[in-house]
Amino acid sequence: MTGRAFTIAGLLLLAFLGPGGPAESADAPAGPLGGLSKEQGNGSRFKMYNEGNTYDLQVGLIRVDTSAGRVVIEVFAESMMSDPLWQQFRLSAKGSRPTVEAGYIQVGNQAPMRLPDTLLSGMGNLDMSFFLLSEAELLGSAKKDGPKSLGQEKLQTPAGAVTCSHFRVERSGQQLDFWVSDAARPIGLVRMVSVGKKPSENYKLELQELLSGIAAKIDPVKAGPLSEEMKAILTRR
Amino acid sequence: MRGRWLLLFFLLTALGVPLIAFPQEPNPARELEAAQKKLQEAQGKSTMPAQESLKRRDVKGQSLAPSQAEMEGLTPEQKKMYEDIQRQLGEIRENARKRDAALEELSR
Repeated sequence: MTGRAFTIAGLLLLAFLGPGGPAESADAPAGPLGGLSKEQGNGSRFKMYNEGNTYDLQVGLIRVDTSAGRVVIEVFAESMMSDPLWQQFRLSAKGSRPTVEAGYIQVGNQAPMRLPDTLLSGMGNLDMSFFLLSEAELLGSAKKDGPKSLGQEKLQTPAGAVTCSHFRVERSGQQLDFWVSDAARPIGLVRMVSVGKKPSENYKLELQELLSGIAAKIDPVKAGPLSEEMKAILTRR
Repeated sequence: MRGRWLLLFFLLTALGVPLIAFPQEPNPARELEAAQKKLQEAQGKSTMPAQESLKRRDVKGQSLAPSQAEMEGLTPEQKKMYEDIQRQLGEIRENARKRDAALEELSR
């Protein structure tokens, strides 16, 4: 996957830092994370298909600290032939641009490892709008040449039937279609289909079920430094 | 094995790349649509379809982990077979990890 390709992780994270939108309750605390406080512990489980592999991909909103303007998310991924992998990110939503304050990774039953700032630096450049996978927000604030709205469609998914807003973006020969529903908050994503020239650009993601009551897997207190082996893998990309 | 590892990292750590290049210029058509939507909301009219209920599973304070949902509907024999396969896969992964580590060591 090249640096210019659409990344799944980016889309999966879109929903977390959104300022809410119509789904926010009237008595929600003020601030950019106000609407998310009631979504703490909620998440989504997806199946992802890419290059002959099927991945179990899950994303959870672990903690929302509205007073500190922080959220903690965890991503879990496992395929038949890979070790289970957890990643945790602590993001600060102060100001208009979120920053990744800390990141951790855990492989299988090994001890968690802290991702050094050098690996997180690129993540600090994310624009707040990239984190919005709210159906209403996308529909209301889509800009010229931005994601093209293709109307509403009712999708049958393992999680149930749901009416979604269908969007499409195209770049460098890659076409990304994604279906979003506020019924699937906080993640919002229901289905994603990417078609491109490279094998890594051809993948499909489908919501399997929504999750609640999620707790953190990674305990940052127990995290050690990133191993040399892992550092070599991460910096090789 | 390493190839699959790399794929996972590409998917899960490539966060530094803007996903969708939202331009900053306003789109009058969209703004009109948003204004109409706000007006309808102010008038108490719903602009979205009724919220649908998607299947939600309470993991009861557990962390994200391999789902047991696939096991629903399996007979006890099939469940045992599933668990055996998972165990064998775990052993294969561990062996592959050791092999990779040994190869890495040899290549130094």
